[in-house]
Amino acid sequence: MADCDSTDADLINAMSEHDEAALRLLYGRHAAWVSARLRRRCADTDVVADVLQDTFVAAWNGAGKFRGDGDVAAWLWGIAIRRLISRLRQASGRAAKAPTWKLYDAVDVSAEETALLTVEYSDLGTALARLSPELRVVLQATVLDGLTTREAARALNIPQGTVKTRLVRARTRLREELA
Amino acid sequence: MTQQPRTWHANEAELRALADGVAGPALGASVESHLMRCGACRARMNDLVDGVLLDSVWSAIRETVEAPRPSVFERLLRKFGVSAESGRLLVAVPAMRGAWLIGATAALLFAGGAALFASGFGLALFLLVAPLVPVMGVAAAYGGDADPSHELVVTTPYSAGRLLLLRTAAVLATSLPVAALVGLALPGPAWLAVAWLIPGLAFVSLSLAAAPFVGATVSSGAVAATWSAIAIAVSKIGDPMDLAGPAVQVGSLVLCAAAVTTILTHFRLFDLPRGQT
Repeated sequence: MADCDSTDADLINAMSEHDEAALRLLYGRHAAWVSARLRRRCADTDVVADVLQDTFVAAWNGAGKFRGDGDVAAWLWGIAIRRLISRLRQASGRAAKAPTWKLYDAVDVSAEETALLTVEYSDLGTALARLSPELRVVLQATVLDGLTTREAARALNIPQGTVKTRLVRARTRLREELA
Repeated sequence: MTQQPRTWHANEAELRALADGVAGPALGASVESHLMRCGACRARMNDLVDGVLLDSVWSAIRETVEAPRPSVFERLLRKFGVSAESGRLLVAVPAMRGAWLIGATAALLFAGGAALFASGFGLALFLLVAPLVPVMGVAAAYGGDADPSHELVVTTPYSAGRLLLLRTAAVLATSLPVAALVGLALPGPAWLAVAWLIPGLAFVSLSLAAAPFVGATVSSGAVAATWSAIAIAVSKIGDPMDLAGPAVQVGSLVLCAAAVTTILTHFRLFDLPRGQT
């Protein structure tokens, strides 16, 4: 029986045996941060609520397919970000040539944020802040959100080859900064 | 903003910035990637995020999870692009239930068996019963008294005409294969297995065309009685094979075309309350 001491993987296991209490516990542990991350990517609260619901329903239905060695948080986020992307794409309409939605904003890092980062964060944050917005969104999509280059290319609406070259450039830049 | 001492964890201000959606790209990315590795900081997010939203989403999740899972057949229909509502209505057709299928199979097997032992009379019996099986399915689907989901169907916000065609398709999909299989098992030429197809379709469309005027039970009963009388008369007077002969086939085709035309031109009638409902 699932309880507060169960690990996330135990909860998923119990969910695959239709233990609703396990789903409740998993939701209690993960819904808040998942919703916060979704909220950063989509301002529409209704869409965030829908995607959050879809994510945990999908986790319930797909609990049997969860590989025991994987990380539950990363697994959940993988579901959530993909649901969000397909939801946004649906809403913008398949007929539209240029996507009317934007998941990754290529905005500049403000001076305040940079100042905060230098104090608060290790060199990585600073290096990240110094990257050009185009390179940073590619890192966000692939490293942070765990999308494949193919998925990132679709989400960013740029060719897959461009994603790859930008990823290489971003890595080189980061390595130089951190050296 | 006052700086708190750096620990292994994200501080309150950083988490709050993330929760409120005001964290910039670099800070946000840093806190997000920390959250993915740190259960303690994830737990602290609970107090910072809109609890009302989380609660309402949870009740929606619980509703979805507790809803009965659609049957295998319903999920199969959905895979083939049938909408959830249409799928539920199709599954509710009596012809889709085991009892109906068993009844139809039993009737056909009986007729088929009779054909094996008493070829002349048995063959006539099979040719009499086979075209009527789908008619009975239609009658059961629209007769009211035979359909437990009748109340549901009457009150459903769905075009009655569309519903009728949808459910007829379900009846045909279940009864035609059974009759075809039994027909194939019969002695005699293989075309006998499908010889009743055109009469069967004609009878179904005829019953449907008359249904808005007299009700499905009466119309299909009248069709069944007429066909039975013709079949018995033909097999008494002449060769039972005549039942599958060109005269019957052509006649059925004409009937079928006339009935379909009536249905198409009077489609609106199906949306009116039927005499029997």
